[in-house]
Amino acid sequence: MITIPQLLILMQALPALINAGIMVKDQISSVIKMFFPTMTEDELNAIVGIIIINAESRKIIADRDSGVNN
Amino acid sequence: MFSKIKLLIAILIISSACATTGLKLKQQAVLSLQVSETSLEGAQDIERNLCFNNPSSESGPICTNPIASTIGLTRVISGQEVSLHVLISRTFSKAFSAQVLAGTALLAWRSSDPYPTAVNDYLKIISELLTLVTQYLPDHLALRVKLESAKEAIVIR
Repeated sequence: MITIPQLLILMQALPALINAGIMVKDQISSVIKMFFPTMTEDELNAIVGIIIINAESRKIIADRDSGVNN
Repeated sequence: MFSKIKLLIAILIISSACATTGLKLKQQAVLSLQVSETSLEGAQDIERNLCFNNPSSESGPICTNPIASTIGLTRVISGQEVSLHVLISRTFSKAFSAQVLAGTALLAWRSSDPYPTAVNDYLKIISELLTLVTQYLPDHLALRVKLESAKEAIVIR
């Protein structure tokens, strides 16, 4: 999570970068994302998909070991 | 003009922070389920290594590893009419089923919603498995540690 000093630096730096033409407003979100390294909803859902696939294949093994589908 | 830009940036940052807080909760829930799943897989591998000579090619209710009978995996558990290996495997099956349900619930979950009960159900089955192993295989620390990791990885909100 972003700290207060980082927030202040960001607030000070971004307008200067925009004014100097180094950064456009659309790039602000990229900078904010750098400070908040949160995965996207799609990335999280992809991880859950992998968890489900792994769990399903492990369940098949467990069922074989318990005499089901053997 | 300069202060308006500052205000705009502050609003952008604060609104972004609010949006990511919800996503961070989901991220925590998903990643904890992932860690738990990896630990549970590790626990299943340990049990299968104790039961089978070659766990990658063997499966079933009959253990082939001589160590299995030494540690009690082949003994029939009273009241269950099945061996400890089968009983543990059945519980692993329930745990992985519950994990699929927990994952499916997390797909649709938003941090503003009540925490999915399916995750709690999954946790209960891990506890059941841990109790079983602690009771019947008390000397197998590695197996117990993996199951404890699978349990502790889950944080219920």
